[in-house]
Amino acid sequence: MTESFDEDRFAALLDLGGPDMAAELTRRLDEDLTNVGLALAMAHADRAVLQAQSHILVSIAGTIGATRLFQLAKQFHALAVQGESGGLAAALPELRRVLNDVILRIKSDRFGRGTA
Amino acid sequence: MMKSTAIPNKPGPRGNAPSVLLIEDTASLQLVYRKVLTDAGFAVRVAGTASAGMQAFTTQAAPVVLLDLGLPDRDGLELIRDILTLRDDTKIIVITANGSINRAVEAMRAGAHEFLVKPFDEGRFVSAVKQAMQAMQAAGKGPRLARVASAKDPMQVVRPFLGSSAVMDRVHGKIALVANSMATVFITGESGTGKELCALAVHDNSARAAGPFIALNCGAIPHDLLESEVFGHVKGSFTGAIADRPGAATAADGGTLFLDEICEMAPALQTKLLRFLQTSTVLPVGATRPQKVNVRIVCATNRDPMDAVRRGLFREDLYYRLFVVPIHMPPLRDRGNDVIEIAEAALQQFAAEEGRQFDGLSPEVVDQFRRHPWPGNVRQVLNVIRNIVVLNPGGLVTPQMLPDELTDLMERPDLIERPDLNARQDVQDAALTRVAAKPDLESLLGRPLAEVERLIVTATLARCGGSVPKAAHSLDLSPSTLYRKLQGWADNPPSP
Repeated sequence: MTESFDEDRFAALLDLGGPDMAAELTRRLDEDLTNVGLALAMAHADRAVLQAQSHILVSIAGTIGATRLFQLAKQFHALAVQGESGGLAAALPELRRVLNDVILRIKSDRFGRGTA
Repeated sequence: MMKSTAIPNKPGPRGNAPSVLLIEDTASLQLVYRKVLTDAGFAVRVAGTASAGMQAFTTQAAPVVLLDLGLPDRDGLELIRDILTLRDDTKIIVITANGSINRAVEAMRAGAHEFLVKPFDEGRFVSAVKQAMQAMQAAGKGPRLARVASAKDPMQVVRPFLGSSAVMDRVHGKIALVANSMATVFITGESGTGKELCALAVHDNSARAAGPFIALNCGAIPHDLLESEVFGHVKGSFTGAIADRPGAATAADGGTLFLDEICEMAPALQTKLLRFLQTSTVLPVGATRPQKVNVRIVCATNRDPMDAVRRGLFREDLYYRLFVVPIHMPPLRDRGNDVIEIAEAALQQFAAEEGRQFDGLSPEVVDQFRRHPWPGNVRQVLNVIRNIVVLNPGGLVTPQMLPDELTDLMERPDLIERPDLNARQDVQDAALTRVAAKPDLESLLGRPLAEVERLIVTATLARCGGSVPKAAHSLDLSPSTLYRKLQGWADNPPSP
């Protein structure tokens, strides 16, 4: 996971504002990313939903240092903008798999060091 | 990308801290951006939707607005235009993950000051806000823009203080009398009646007008962060406390601290607030020595505060400490002809903004407006007038121009939930949602509750064009809760 997740960047983010903020941030990240995962799972071929959710994913993944997810989300968002339905269908499983990995990574922190 | 190692070792917002409005719908990013900006010395207000952002800007204009273009309820480009219509000198910094040149060009054409692509470097982020703020100050405008409007302010017309009813005369008189004292003011009133404007008016008519006005929404900040927000913390008090950070009480030194939704404050913090009021000293988290501050407190709630005391939600001793001079902002339905004055003034202003010519309200519309109870108060009137101006070419405003939702409510007054001070939800939204879903109450009677829930959710989703976040907002649920419900129903469809 180290190649796909910048642990230093994530740790620095959690250290922004002390333990209370770290706990709150991991809770919000968990919820935001879970929401995106559920929306992607239920979006079927709805381009607008795929575009909006991948937009959120690019922002969050880039901010927390989830580098692999960031790259995949950017590619996916570009496909959604272009309306490449075939490409979207092919890319979605890998995006969801990596997203789930990141959610598990956040959860491990949330219920480990992240809780106040 | 955001890196805590680059965080400047600076205190948070102090008195007269430049005000920034952050409009961002992703909760985790809200928290990060807000923290970075606060550490850089800015006073930050946050909104999670376009409508909340517009409301926050209308209530208190900010010189710099950070705007995410991908908002759930409205296109960000439209919001840029609306903000600039209200204040054409506002510096709007667009923040988006969509870094396409087309999008950037669209944003700049709409009037954006700067375009930042997410994720961005913290230094770049703070630098962009500082440059925007400096541009405002160079033009002779700055943080003080975020204060109450002057008589010449074009926003004055959309403020709820318009109106010549006797009940509002009494409110104005009370503000004038109490402003120059140090007495604590406790403002009550339904949503949309102008409680924060009342607090600003108290501050601006006081001898403290040159000092800071710091507003804190006790209901919008997580309970575990509220103590640090109010009282601050000292360097080293916990991991990550890399610098002293004054809280709102210190930032308001020499001015006014406005505590909105005071009844939502956690009991433990109520105790600390009481001590602060008794001693005029603050003890930041991790500090050993209290600091003396000179702050005037104004607080507000849309609940009945005495009822909160009876229910054990609010300390009785704190209630009596705060409830010194109460000001009740009356609902619009009790303000006689004010609704017509407000509607006519808003019609003129919005028509001018949209470049159209309207000739006032027809007698039928005046009659309907007078009879309507306006559960969303002044905010609802302004929304209705904006709707009319945008969707019609001009002329005399007739009943046919009224939005369907309002007409439905006028025809079915039984659908309107009469708001009271204990109402926690936005009554206007709730009433409109019920009308949009058009549930036939009779047909629902006798059905299992789970089925009724599914029908209501499905109808709300349909009304929101299938948008789960919008429907969740309307139902007062988190999107994840709604997603789980939908997933559950998809996995176990009801038997025919």
